[in-house]
Amino acid sequence: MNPERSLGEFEQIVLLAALRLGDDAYGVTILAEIAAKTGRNPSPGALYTTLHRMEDKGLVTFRDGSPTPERGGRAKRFVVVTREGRNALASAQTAYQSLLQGLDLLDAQMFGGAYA
Amino acid sequence: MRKVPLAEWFISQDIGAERAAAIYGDLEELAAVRGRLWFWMAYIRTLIRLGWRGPVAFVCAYAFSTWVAIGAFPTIHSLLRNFYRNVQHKPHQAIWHVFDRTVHHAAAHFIWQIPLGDCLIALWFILPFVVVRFGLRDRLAQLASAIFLLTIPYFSLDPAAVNFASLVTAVIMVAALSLRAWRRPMIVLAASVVPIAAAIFLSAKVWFVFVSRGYGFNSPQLQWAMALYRAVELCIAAIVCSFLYGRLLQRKPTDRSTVA
Repeated sequence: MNPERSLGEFEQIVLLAALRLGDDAYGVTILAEIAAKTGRNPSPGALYTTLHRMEDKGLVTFRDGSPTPERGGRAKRFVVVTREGRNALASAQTAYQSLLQGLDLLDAQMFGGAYA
Repeated sequence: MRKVPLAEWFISQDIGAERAAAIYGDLEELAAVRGRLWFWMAYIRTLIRLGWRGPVAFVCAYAFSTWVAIGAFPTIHSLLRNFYRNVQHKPHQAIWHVFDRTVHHAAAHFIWQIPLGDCLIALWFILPFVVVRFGLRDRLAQLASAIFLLTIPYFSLDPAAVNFASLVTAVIMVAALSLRAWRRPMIVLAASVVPIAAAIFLSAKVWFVFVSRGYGFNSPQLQWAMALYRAVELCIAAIVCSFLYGRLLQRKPTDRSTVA
């Protein structure tokens, strides 16, 4: 895997949320999707720095929406996951799956009976 | 045309107007549900998250350049000077002598060593600034690092070493300007170095103004004035560097299509 394209955990979460939302993926909806599916409440600042970093890496691009009154006349910037972003995500997920193979995370023997 | 609030303008200084408008719009949209207190808390956290690198880079660069000028420069100078003398006076080092003569001959007509020295001293600030601000993977940081490392012999202040540094700098500049990928980083670097180099060049005049008015070399007034002068020159260089980086080197969004 190209180290330039290796993804951190939060980057993967953001990409997955953006892919789930499809055409409606922008800051507000991505934060809501992450909160709904993972129980985390990331700060907006964390999301934007991650999105900007992934934009610089070429993993996502943006397209402008129309200005809306509830945003004070500002346009939404919708997130579009690029082919490179999808490939990096698939690669990271495949690596996780390979590492998980043969492991049973809930197996009591592995934790000395702590979870029995 | 939409009026940009001051809070949005602050964010835009680091990430550009379009990104700032989208972020501010998102926060406004969320504030309708979560309230104004949440909005300002989130705004401050976002501002710090997005903009911490600029101030931290400035402080690091200021501290590094001050440390080099006050503490490290005399040591570096004396080490290089001793190294050069040792090598030069060993008769079996014929290659060095040939190289020395060649460099002297090639650079005999260079009359730009003093401005060059100011530019290289300016790199003591610019290098740590761009490394912290933009990261070591950035071409601007890599270019500044290359010039900084290759021109260290200049600080022996030996004529041959100064000429060598002049030639190296000239070669790197010509090579960078002729290569498409490195042209813009070279322009940004050169433009960032100029304010500091010019200020160093003019600092003797500022010093003279104070001394001619009766202030002693060690008087607090003169020390404060020079510290302020230095802070202003470095601020200008940091602003020029960040501004030109945003204009010439920051990656532009690839897809500008608009949806309804």
